[in-house]
Amino acid sequence: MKPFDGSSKGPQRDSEFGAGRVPDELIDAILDGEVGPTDSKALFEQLRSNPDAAGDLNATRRAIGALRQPVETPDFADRVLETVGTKRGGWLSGRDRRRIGFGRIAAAAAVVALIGGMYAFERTRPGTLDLSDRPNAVAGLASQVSDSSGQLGSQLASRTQQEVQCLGDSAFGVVKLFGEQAEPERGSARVVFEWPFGDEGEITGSPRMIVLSDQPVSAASLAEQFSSITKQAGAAEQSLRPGGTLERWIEGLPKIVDRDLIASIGEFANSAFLQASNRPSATAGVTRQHDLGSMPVVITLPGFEPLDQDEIREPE
Amino acid sequence: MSMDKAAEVRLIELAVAGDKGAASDLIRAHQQSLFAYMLRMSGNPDIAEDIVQDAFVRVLLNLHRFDPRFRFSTWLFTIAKRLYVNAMQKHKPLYDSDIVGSRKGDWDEPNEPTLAKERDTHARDAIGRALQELSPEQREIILLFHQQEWPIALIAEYTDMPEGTVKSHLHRGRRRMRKYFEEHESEEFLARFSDEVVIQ
Repeated sequence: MKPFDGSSKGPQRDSEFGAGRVPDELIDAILDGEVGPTDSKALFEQLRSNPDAAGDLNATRRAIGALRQPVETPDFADRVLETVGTKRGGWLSGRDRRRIGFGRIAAAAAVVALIGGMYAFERTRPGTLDLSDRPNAVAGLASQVSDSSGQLGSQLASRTQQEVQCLGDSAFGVVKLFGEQAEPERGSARVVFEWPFGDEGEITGSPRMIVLSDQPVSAASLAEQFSSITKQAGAAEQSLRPGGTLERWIEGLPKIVDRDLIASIGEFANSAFLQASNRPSATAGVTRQHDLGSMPVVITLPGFEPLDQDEIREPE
Repeated sequence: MSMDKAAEVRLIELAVAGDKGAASDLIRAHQQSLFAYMLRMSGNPDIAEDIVQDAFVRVLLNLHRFDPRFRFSTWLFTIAKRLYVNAMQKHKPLYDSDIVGSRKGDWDEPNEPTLAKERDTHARDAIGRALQELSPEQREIILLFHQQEWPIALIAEYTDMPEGTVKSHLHRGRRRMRKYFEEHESEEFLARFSDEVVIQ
């Protein structure tokens, strides 16, 4: 605690403090750091002529001082990390995190293709275009979203000549679940969910969502949808959470990729899509889930109308 | 060790991504305050050590769930408190010089005690006994406020008590501690703990 100088922490108050007995409440207020400078000065003077009260205050302060005696603390880092490493399948460090086994990439690619195929089968309707055949900014970018949100950020930054802040570069592999929607004369949207995994095929982080749309997308809507979908996916298969493994993830796919989840993703793509207006705008959003919220980043390509920055915030 | 919130959030992000060094830094930034708190709460270094280790393990395994809008230390202490409550159902707090003052280990006392070390041991025992005089609520709130320097509002949130109740426990606890020290310890002993202006 700071010296008795009136600059103590917390809301400070001054009161009509006169001469006479020093009330316990005021002593408490001093020790709570709630006495303002005026009262402090007056009290200080009064305590000089009130040995009993001064003695009480001093004794209490000394008792408090005893609580702050330093405690020799063991180092917990090594043993904690060892335990956690065992439970979550090892730690990733340095370049090791970047080395992804070819087999796992192939497996992930197969998964993505499988899901993409399922999604396309589910969502394709007469008149719907394949996104890859559609010559627009989104299709061009979407085709480059090959690895991670970090990579996407760097590609967007290169294209836009703007600083693009993504929520951490993925120094590991990702598995992706994506959906897309496009209609002639209206626009297109692609939604990618990605789960990072490490050398041992373990899921190493929370899922991210990347949204590419050639129409404005509300950050709040995006976060809400993301939360809903990841809850479904998380509830369906424990292995999607950090500590799970890619193998279990693949094994769990039949549980995850059900019609409801696909419909959710499709609806999200649709909702982004249905916000279509004639404004020539292109946005890409990246969110990262924290259970209690997500942090969207929305990027606008040059020459297009930017989103209202007020929308780019965490949901309440 | 302390760090600003932005640096802490960055460490958490890296640790979530699997960065061992970041996880290690995160532990070392908080281990001293948590261990000191748990040691005073439990009165037993072995129990405190188990709780702190388990709390860090649980926190790291669930780090992806952490919401950076909140204080990391509050989350960590909340998890540790649950573990403490469980541990206390098995053990009673033990403020005993044989346990608190003479525990041997890689972090504890040297083999040849000096006069200063003996005084430290006596001080730890006295602090422990004084805390033992308090109710669990008083002990918790006294430690959070005076040892951890948490503001009243945060303690109220953490303990799920109204601020007035927190203050009431704080004030009563302080008086009981003062009374204990006055009755059981000498002025000379208490004077060594004062790092403040003393009014005479």
